[in-house]
Amino acid sequence: MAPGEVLPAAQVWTLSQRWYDNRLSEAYQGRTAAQVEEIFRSLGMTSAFWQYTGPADAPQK
Amino acid sequence: MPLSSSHTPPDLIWQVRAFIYRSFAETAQPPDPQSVARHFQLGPDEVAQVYRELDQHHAFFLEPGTLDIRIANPFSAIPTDFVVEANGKRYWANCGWDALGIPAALHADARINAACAYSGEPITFHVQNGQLDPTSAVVHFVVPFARWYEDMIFT
Repeated sequence: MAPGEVLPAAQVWTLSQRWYDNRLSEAYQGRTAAQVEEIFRSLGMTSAFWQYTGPADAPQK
Repeated sequence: MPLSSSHTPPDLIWQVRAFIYRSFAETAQPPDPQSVARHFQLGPDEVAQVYRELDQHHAFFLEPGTLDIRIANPFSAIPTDFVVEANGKRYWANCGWDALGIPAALHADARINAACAYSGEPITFHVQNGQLDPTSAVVHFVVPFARWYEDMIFT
């Protein structure tokens, strides 16, 4: 298996709910790297793989 | 609302983003740029400018050198191995995570059909009433977060 991180599908479902919950909202205007890291932290995704080294206000998907 | 300068009003680009996402949710496809132009009373150059700004914001991702929306996470405009059936429609997702992202975004029950990246074996997930049915499947993330945008299609 290639390098990277492997997560149980159940955890990815929780991640999906937090990540995409408001994606269809008129008010959604993206999020910053700092906001992304907060989501990752809330799910225990704290390894170097999930850390961002660029500007904290860089736009995210 | 025709634009009068080279800078797009911030509210407009996010209204266009919402319009495009609504189209994905309702039709599983993005609208064509002409529809966006008609809806917002914009000229072709203005639509192109808005699309480029949204691409730079990572609100969606264009096919390079075109105004074709390839990815509006979690949706894919082109066929993939991750098929999501929800609300009586078939959607394509970009990856295993986005396959779960579509029912999360739609707040809908879903059946997800995918193929294991390593064995090729079919994998099916069910989402019902906001819950993922028990599964032993895993999702493999290959690209570290810090490098997601170097090549979004590969990511």
